[in-house]
Amino acid sequence: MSNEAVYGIMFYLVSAVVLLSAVAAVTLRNLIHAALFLAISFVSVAGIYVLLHADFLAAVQVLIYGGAIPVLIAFGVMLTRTPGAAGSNPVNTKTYIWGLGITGALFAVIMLSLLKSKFAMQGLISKEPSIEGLARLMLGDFLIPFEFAAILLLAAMIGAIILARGGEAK
Amino acid sequence: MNFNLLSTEIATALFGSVLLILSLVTGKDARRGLGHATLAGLLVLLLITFTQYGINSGGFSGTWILDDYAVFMKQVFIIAAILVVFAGKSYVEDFTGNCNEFYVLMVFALLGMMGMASAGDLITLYVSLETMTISFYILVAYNLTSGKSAEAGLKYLILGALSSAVILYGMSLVYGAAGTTLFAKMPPVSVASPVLLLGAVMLVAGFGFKIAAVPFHMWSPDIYEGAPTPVTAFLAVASKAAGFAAMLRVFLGGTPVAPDNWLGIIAVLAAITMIIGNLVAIPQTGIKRMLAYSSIAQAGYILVGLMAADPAGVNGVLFYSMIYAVANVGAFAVVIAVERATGSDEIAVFGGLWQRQPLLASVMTVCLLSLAGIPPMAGFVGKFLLFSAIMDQGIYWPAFIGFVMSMISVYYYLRVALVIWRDEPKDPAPIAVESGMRLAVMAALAVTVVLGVYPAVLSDLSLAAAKSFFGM
Repeated sequence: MSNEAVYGIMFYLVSAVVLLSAVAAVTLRNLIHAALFLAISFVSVAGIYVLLHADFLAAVQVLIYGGAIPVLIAFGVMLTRTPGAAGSNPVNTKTYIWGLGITGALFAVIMLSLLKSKFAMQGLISKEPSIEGLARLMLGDFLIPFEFAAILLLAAMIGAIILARGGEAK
Repeated sequence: MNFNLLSTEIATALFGSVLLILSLVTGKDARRGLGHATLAGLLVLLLITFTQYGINSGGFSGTWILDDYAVFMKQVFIIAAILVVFAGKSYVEDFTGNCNEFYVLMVFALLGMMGMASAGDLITLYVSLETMTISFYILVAYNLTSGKSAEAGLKYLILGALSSAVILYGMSLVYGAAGTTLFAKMPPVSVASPVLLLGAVMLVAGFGFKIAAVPFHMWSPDIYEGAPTPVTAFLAVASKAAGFAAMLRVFLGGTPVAPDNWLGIIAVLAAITMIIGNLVAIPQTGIKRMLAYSSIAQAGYILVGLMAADPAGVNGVLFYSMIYAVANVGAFAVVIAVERATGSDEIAVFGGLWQRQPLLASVMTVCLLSLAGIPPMAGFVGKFLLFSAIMDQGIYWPAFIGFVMSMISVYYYLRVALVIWRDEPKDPAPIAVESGMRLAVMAALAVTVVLGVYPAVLSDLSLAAAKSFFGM
């Protein structure tokens, strides 16, 4: 088998895992199970990044989305839910026909326009470690959004503390 | 790198950080002082923006654009913030618990808006948009002892995150099709691919949420009603103006899709926003909900200016944003004062307001008349600029819908005025107006009347800004 074929097979395999575990995360009734499948979905996305030679992004994805966020979700569930985990993730089945119809239509529109367009392929995949290029972009061309992100995180952190502390009764 | 392009933003970020440190080291008794410090800082920022006119250049690899248009928009945000702080200081002092960081978050939200006005590429735009929105999520839920405020905050968080996701998906499609994130390098319409169009439609939907255009407006009445009233005022005015600032940058400055392609979408949005916003405002009994629907309708009028897609249209957008900001904050200031005195935001509690506090009654009436677009208030000039821009291009129907809906809007605006001037007050006790509130409402009154009679003061500035936007 050629490299291309292996690449293609791997891509579709990983994508299938991403999608199926995402579906499971939404439909499973037990919130802990749903969180686990969410973690699997996130880690498989890291697999797609690896296939694209985005090594740094893949590592970050595993560290943050594969590690920190599922742990946070699990803690959140454990600290807020006292009764059993069964049925802790209710699913609304009453309006699923509407949901299917609308998402199906949206999917059709997106697929049609994707198939009918040409994409600007530039640079394609470089074999070098991606971190140097990322650093140059973040502290060079995209310095301003980088600095804005710092303020954004500061604001989010202040807000989290304020909301978590809560108000005092008058 | 020319850091002068960033001087307003650097000053704002520094100011926010200093305010944060101040709010940490001072105790709860320092609330009043922090409000004054915020006001002083915002006034300095306003002065700094005046030194930025005429620079008209970009930098930082094209991710940052500082033209007169951006400076004008930044002044709209800062002026809105100043009026809100003046009017809302005592409201904020009533908060229990940690209220000191309220102003810090306001300043950070302001910084995000400034970034949106100056963004030259999709990434800068998105990060500054999120800076603004995340600060607002917290501000909306800031009244920590009120269930309504918490509910509004949660709703805003979920719906806002959804709209951000739509914007982000749209941006990724635009980037995929265009191969660049810089607005200036977006391809012209002749090579526009379906994906680019799809991305642009998603951007329209996402920004439609931020400016509360129908059919993306569902969140706004609930959140405007539940949020602390000063936050509602800031959200309704500055966040909406920032949404327009960014929309103009993306669609006119960048032209991912040329006007003839997306004009149809904007036209439909403008029409249904004007119609539904005004019609649904009529049966409202709560003043904050009524003003929420009215501000939806106002977004429809401003969209007409975006439709024109020429300097005259942008001039209308800029002029109207400023007028709308001042009049709307004026109206909300009166709501804040009455709400503090009566503890209710029903329209009925405004009964006989002129006997209880003639100043508030007059300001409310003038601001509502300006929002309705009745001469000689400034709102009339603003609507005239917006609608004449589109009529000059030979397209009459948006202006027609605008005129008819403005007539209808007079009904629900004047209904409040009627309650104020005709009804007998239930409780004849006068309403106290402290000095900050007095300044805010008098400023709103003066600006609304003076610019209505003598609009050239502002329209000269906004026309120059509109021309700089098109590089003229």
